Amino acid sequence: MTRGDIVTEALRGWRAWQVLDGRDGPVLASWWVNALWPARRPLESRCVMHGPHPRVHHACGIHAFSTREQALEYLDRSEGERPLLFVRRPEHALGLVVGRVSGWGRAVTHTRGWRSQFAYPHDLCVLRGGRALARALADRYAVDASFSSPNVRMPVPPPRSP
Amino acid sequence: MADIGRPEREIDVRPVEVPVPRELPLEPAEPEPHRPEPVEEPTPA
Repeated sequence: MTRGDIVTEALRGWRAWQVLDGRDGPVLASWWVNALWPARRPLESRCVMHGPHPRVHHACGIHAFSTREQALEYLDRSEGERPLLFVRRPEHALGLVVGRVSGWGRAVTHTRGWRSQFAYPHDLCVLRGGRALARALADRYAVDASFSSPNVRMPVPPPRSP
Repeated sequence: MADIGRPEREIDVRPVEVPVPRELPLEPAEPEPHRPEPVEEPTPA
């Protein structure tokens, strides 16, 4: 493990988001942790133990995968699991999005992606939600956003207990 | 949580330009100042 390398280009990776109905319009939200992605300003990592800088031997930082396929696999896998940290219920999402994300600041590279201190979406592809949602996200985040419909299913809410 | 594999190395990423769009939505264009219709000068008889 080497430490301290300086890179002058932002990292580029892939993520999946759900889209929630925010006060000022649709907002990107992380899948597992309670993080809403602000528009026109970077999201900064905040770890209760380590602050904004991701540490090698912890899971803190903003995560991104190396490939689109890995991000889609993650979406599909998340469907069958109950989020532990996420307080907003996935069944209330306006849509699902996959896209590229830029990362910078202090970062840790991984074999299948990276974790960074700062991140901002680079471009978005709405999988569920429609073209109007893609347009609204493009306007709000000022990034390219398209609509496509691959075979990704929305999470099914768990049955209510009596 | 996202399975991004084993950690490899810690780096410091300092992009020359921060990849966050700064431009705001276009404001409605200001109306053009009113210009009076050209009036034909009466031709001298």
